[in-house]
Amino acid sequence: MNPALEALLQSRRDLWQGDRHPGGQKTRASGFAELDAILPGGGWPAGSLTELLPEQPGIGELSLCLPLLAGITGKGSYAALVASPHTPYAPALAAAGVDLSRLWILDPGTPDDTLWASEQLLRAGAFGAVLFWAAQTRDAQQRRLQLAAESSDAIAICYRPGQAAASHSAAALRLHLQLRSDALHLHTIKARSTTATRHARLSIQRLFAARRGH
Amino acid sequence: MLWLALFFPQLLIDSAGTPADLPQLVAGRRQQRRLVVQCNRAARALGIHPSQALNAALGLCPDITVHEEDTALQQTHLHDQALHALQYSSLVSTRGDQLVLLEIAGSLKLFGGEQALLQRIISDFRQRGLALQSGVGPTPLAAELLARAGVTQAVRSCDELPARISPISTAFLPFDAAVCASLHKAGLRECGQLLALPVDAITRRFGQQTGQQLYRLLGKLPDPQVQIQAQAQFRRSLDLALETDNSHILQFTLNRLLTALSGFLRVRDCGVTELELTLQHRHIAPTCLRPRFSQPVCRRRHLLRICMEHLSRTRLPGPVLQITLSASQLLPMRYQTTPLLHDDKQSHGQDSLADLRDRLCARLGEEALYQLAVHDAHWPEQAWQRKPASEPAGTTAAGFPLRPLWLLSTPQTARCALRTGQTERIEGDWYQNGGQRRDYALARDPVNGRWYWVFREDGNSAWQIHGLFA
Repeated sequence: MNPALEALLQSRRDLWQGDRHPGGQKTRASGFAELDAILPGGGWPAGSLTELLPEQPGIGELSLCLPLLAGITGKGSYAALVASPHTPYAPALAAAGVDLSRLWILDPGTPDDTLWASEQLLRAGAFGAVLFWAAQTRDAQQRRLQLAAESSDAIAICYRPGQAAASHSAAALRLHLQLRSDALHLHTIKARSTTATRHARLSIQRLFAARRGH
Repeated sequence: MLWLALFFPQLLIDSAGTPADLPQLVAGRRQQRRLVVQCNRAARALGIHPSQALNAALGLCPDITVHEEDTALQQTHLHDQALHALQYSSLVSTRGDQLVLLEIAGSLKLFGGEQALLQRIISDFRQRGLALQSGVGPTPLAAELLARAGVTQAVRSCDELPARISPISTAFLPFDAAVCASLHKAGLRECGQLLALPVDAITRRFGQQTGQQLYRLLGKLPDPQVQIQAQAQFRRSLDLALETDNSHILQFTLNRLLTALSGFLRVRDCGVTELELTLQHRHIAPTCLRPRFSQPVCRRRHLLRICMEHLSRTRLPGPVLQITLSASQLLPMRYQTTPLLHDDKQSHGQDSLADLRDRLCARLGEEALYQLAVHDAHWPEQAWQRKPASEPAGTTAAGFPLRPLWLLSTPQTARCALRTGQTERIEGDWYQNGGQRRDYALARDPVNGRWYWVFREDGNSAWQIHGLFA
């Protein structure tokens, strides 16, 4: 390839690169080999927005991120949960190996405040992962969050209801989550380096194992 | 010890805020006569000088600006200057109504030597628009004498003091005015003449006080100073140029107040954790805002950002006339000591975390941001606690049985039959929960396949959903 072109592809993350994984993008292993296998770069993308779309709440979407939270807080970085639908239960998080003193919980009253707070957290630089629940996001807001995540190389995970899968989104990675016969099925709706839908299956036992810490 | 005396010969004129190039004087009453007490350079150029009769001065310049002598006001101004001087020394005192004394021996190293310190102090006060004369001496009285006489060369030890002050006129001696007058009448014009006299003769003739003062001047008697303390409150108001609710104008005014506060705090090496902002309206009750900070703050930018966040969240009932800023509690600043092998990134992160926490709390409210902690209790609702977001503590990992990630605030009755597995019995404390017992189990919703944490109370057959394995 032309070296100038190569340099451009290396330096610019926002250039579409077909089914090649962009070279500069950092990822963080999710803790589940099955999930890593379908994620471009083999893990949660750092510095970009990821959408998780569970078909219904409470099917294991938070367990999916437990190894991530444990890894981030264990390494001296901070993590935050914004506008979680129920109170995260401290004993379960502690048992999964999450350092609670490095986990911030935010309960903003309105959807707008949720997005504002998430953006502030992402821009702060001290946060390695920000997980937030936002049913409705406008395009411009998503782009702001995407830029905020890029500015600090943080992992931004947005939980939206499964119905939002049909709508357009600026997120770099979108995963649809379904619970079918004792296993969590994951589909990539959108991933940066691929056009094909990839599919992974995680058994409930694997998810429960994450809760006890590895 | 080394003392620096700052003598402000025309403090009332300089503090009045009138143009400095206008001839001005301060008139006072001395023994039924109206005299010129202070005058500025422009007045002096016209031939006016202190202790001149006021009428003579008015004869020389009929349209001169005359300020009335006001000792209380002058004391206030002097106190302001002394407070300002506190940033250069921790031992500052005032003398009379025109003089500020600083002990500078302790500050020399910090400010890079005597020359640098003096230059800095003097140019600082000149920039505040004040005429001043300075003197450096080994005792407070010696420094005062040198400052009043306008001798800029420093005297550093008591040994060289008598020789150095000998040529100075006795009129400048920081003694009682009556004593100075009688020294003059006795023909003692220069300090050297006074020093040549035996001290018991001086005591007999001019009183015991004078003898003691002379000893203090020469460093033979201790001369303790009353140290001034910075007041622990800040309160300042600014009127807006026009009634407005325009946030830019409010921010501009607020910025001025916060700049003053920031300077006030820096001098005292203090920070605030709470501010009170009062916005006065016409005919309506004032709006009161109380920005809070998680750590003592003195940086203007940080203060302004949080105040503006509060202001933007507030709906003002009407245009604002006046803004009052008050800080009632000052706390010492906590500085982070940097380790030898300094990790720049880490300390920057900590600093911005405090900033971030304040911003989030300012917009979302204090309650919205918290951290979780595990609490030693068997009863599931009591096994966790909220605590304010703070510095990271040690990790708390405990060997819990399987627990759900989400705990419902109020348990819900399961609507359909659940398949449950092995149960875990949890008993409440007899003194808190009346000895309640619950049998907890993992259950799966037959319809949508979700996993619940359910319990059944003693003697009750209905399962209650208490948690979700999200």
